[in-house]
Amino acid sequence: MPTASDVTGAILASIRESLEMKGITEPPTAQTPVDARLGLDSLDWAAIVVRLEGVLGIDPFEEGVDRELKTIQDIVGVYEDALRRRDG
Amino acid sequence: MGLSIEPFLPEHTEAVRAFNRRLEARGSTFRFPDTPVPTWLPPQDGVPVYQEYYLVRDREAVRGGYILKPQAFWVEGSVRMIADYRLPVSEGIVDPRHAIVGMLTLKDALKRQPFLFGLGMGSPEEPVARLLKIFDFPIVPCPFYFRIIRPKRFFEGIAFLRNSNVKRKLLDLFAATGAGWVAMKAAHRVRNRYKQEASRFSSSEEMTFGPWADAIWESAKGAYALCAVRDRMVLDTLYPPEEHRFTRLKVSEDGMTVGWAVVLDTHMRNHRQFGNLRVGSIVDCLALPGREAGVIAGATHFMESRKVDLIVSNQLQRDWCQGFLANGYLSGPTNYFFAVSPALEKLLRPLEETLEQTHMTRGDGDGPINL
Repeated sequence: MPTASDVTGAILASIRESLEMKGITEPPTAQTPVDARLGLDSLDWAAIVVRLEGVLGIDPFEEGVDRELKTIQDIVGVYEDALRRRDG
Repeated sequence: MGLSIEPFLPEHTEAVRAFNRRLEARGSTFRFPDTPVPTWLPPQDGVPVYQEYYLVRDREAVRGGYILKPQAFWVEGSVRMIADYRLPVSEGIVDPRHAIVGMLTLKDALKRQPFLFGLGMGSPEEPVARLLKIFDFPIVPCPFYFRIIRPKRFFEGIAFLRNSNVKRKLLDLFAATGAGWVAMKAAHRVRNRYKQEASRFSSSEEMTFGPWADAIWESAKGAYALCAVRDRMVLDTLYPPEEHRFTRLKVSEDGMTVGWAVVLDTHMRNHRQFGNLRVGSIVDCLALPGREAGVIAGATHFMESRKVDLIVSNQLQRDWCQGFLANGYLSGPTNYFFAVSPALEKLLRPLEETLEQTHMTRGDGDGPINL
């Protein structure tokens, strides 16, 4: 079962992978805003979510999203919520 | 609060209009329909093809939407509902804060209908096609066939080829000297292996699809691995009698009905590819097995008599593709792609074989738009 730090690490790694594919080398942190400054478009996010489904075995977006996504930490929260729901 | 996906209800209308205004203000040409009931293919009792609109909502604001078009298909020997994923629109295209919205529309569509497909993407590099590819949808081209009926007008008017000074001069020369006419007639004649047989097939214009269409469907469906149900009720829904731009042709061989085609005769105006040409298109068709080339011959003869400049069609199924080539059509670069969801792909395995028996035309998917 992935821990909270596993989730954060996996999300940051997946985001970093997409950024590197676009030539962006500045590493994101949990506090990085998920807006235009980050440099990812909708297709990048789709690829990130599909990769994370493979790594973490969950799809937290199946039922929509129940929190506002302003920073990477908010995305971590979405995954953590989904893990909690899955594991009771 | 976050994002939720819900059916488009009347009370969302103003929010959809505001969404469209934000897209327009930021330079996007995409718009989502701003009425909750589709004008094309609204749900009707007992009709197995319809559209549903879904919205991605963020509190009171709409951030995106998509259309699901469930439709009865013949799939590997039985009829089942599958769905076309249409017109995903996301505010993410103009505002990266909403970048996740596009993906949510596809996830929601897959949850509602795992047997999903996409049709009509212009290229595998289009954003929608790339999104589908990320979700493991195989994407294949639907070949494009064309036959030039009036070479002089074609060479003078084909916008797609007249995209540089040199090409324009060359095409004008072809048109003026008749060289193009000779070349095109020769190309079509060399390839027209069906000329002898073609004379046996005739077509008649019909106001509606009659019981004969049901008979064709019952006889033809078994030849396909995947084909939208094309019985009389569905066809009269897709090509209603009050839509005068559709011509329904019943094709007969020596007096016996062997198939049908729906054709369009469109005088284009500043069209991106066709300029101002008069374009005939065979947008949909069905035939008794083995009579595909005959139906194409009947439809082609009809369009020739209407004096269109060229005839075009997109097809996927092998016998239809071969039928177009046998009738002297040439194959050109396609801008019409078909994608299947992983669940649908599983039903159709091995896909490379079943695609040869998959009937997809311009009448499927979004319907004959841009033609």
